[in-house]
Amino acid sequence: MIPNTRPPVQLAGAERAAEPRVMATVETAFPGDRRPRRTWERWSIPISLAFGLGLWWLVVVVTGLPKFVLPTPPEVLLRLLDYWPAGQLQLHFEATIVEALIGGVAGVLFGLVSGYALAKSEIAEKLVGPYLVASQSVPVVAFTPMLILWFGTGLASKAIVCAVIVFFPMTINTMVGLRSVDRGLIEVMQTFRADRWQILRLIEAPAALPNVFGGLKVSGTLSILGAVVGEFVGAKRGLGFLVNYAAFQLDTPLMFVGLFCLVALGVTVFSLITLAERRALRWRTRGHD
Amino acid sequence: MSAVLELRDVAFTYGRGVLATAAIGGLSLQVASGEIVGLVGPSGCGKTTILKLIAGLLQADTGSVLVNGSGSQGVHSDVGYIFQDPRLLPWRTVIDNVMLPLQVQRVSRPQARLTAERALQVVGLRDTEDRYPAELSGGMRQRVAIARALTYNPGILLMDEPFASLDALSRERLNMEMLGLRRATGKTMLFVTHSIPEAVLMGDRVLVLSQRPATVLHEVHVDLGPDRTPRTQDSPEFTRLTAAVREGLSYAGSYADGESEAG
Repeated sequence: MIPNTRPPVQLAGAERAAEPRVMATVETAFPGDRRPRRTWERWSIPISLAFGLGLWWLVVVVTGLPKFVLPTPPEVLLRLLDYWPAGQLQLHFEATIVEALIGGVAGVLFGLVSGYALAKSEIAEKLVGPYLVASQSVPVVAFTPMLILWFGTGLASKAIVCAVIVFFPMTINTMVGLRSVDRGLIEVMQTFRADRWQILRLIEAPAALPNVFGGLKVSGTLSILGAVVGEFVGAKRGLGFLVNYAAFQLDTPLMFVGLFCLVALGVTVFSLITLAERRALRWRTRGHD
Repeated sequence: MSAVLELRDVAFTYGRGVLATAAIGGLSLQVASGEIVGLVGPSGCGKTTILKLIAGLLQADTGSVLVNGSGSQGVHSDVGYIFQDPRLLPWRTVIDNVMLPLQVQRVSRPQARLTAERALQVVGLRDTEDRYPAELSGGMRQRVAIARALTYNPGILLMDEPFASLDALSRERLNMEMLGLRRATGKTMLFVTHSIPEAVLMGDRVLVLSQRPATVLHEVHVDLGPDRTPRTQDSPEFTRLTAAVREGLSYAGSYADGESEAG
């Protein structure tokens, strides 16, 4: 038999790093339940948003903070309406999306491949493991200047930052997913004389999919983070650049505009991945209700 | 009838060095075409290992395993395996699970579907096609596993305590279904069981294995004819045969599975 008695994860330190709290809250925040929603539940998000905005406004009114420290919600909205027609915001948006998308997809693909290699080969794990852990113990911000120096202030350097950040959680999640595959199912495939590729396609890939989606959810938000970090260090465009630029100008309302754009982007990406996950893993919610 | 399955002096050891455990030692047996043979033996005596050696999931250290007269490396195409647990793919519907072996053989989807539907008909599960394994009872899942083995369509079916996790009634029904299957298709079956009544009810022959390393200690011919019903178990002949098997087992050493006698 193929020996597979080693513990599921050997990169002990790495594993801890790979499971940011995000993942746990992701699962609890979006359970796959389909029970009918009550009326107040349907309004929960608008109510919560309104409450948050109200509190923010109240703080400004009560404390009398100046606009350049903390603007009120309407001031931010006015700045957005004022800034929008110039067409700059769209360009910044586009830059960040393209960087995060290209870098994120590249990081995900590399992560899938290396996760497979690590799950399948002990030698690969021994050789690559230390680099993975090392890359994770250095904050991204610390080596971003170097990437800017090498690859310029354009798209390439940011995409690389994104790819580097995304690579690690994708690798670990893919590896853990593949290691958790039920040996019994692989044995079944062997009795049907399936080849290695068929076992990967028909058993290992679908079995690892829940973990891979866990990695994807983290990767989505991390990828945007990577783009913003890159833009902070050196860029001429992007939402991160906008926030940084506005901060230097003490144009705090514009800074908030940039921040809200990032929030919107992050939430959209996360929701899209969650939606895809629900579709792909529909079988998990069937038969349990 | 000729032997479609033959083990000659087969030995197999797990592990190496001080950890080596001899599971099978000099085991020989023959199974004729269309015959149903039950394997019983003390717990942990290596029954599963024997089935895995025949299936080609394990390779014998010495001796030869002949399927249809020829030995081979790897898994033999004429051998199907039904595991103790159903081992269904939880992300696939019943019909897609049953189609799996045909998908591996690259049979076209419409044709595979037709074959799978027929197999589900045989095990009486046509109306659960589009459900997921998690939506089925244990007995239904095991039937899906049987249907899956049927679409693979091997001449020889190996079954490793296939009904051990089921209640007595479902178990009896499936026993009868397997006998009906043999009548309809003439398949050869070799099954492992902990239950002496099950071995006698289904088997044409029951082989009693020794403690590890396993060899065949004792052989009981079951002359109950091909047409058996659950009521067969009430006949004096049946009682005599189960007693014979139990007697053989007591020679085999500690017979530790008292509870399974009830099954």
